[in-house]
Amino acid sequence: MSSGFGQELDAQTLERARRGDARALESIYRLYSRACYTLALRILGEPGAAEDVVQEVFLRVLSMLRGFRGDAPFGAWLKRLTANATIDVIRRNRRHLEDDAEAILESTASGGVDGEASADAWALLQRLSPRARAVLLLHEVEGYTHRELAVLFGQSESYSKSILARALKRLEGMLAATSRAGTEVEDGNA
Amino acid sequence: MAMHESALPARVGALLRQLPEFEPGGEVWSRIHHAHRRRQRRRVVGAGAGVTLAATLAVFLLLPQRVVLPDNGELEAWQARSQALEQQWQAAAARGDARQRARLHRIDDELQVAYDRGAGAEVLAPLWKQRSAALLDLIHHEPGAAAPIRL
Repeated sequence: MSSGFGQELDAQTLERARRGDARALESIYRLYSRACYTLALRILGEPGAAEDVVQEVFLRVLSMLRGFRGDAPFGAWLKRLTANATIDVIRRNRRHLEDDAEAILESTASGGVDGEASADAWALLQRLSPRARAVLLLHEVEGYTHRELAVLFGQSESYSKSILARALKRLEGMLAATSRAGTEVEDGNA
Repeated sequence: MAMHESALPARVGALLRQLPEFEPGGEVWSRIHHAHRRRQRRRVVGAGAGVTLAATLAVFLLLPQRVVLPDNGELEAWQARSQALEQQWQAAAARGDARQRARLHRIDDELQVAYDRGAGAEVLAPLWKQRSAALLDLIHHEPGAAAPIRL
């Protein structure tokens, strides 16, 4: 379920990028920008804000790359930078505006996933608040523990546990309602 | 990453697997690249100003006491001549020889790397000296280049 941060960056490209080689820097962007943008857009629900996150994250990468020691995989480092930048946006914009889901789905890049199911999944997710989406996605898709989420959000572990439990309950309720509505339509057509 | 605890309901898990992925707009890399170059230039200019200030202070502190500093009139003349020299260099840089400009850019890149690595004065000073020499070459290789300025 990883969204692309798990891709490996070869040591040669990393070393060239550390020396400021423009093509190596662009290769890194091409490799990870989709993962970075997807995570930010799934959480923020707004393409412009997600692109700003990508820009901020990669500018940070460019300025910090020489100091990257490689203790953790590059993708994990980038994912943490993306999560932090996205959470910062949520903190700044408490009243977050969200674009029309249809317009956002026009830029979808999913390959092999059923388009209608994908659109339904996106629409349901967007009915949660950005903060709930952040906790849900970072925990369930990106693999962060509650302890790590506590550090990212600057809150206690019980904070993310509570948000996650409510988000899951809400999603289950929405899925059950969608399923019931589908059954009723089928019965009516029969 | 630490051990991950999850009790994800099957239907929600399936929902999350169906989420679409997205590509950022094609112009985002270009925006990042240009913003990065702007920041680099600002850092070089800022660092240059710092070195110039330090060098100026050093000259004044090391000058023998008998040297008389210019009065306000002379100071204005120095400023005017300095501005004229700067304008001449800017004109020369705009038209200058591509090889000389490439040399200047290479020195700028080396300076950037040196500053990013936290290099000391023993590394930075020779680079700034090389930069000055490159600028003088750019000016003097121009047809009708400025005659040496006398005070």
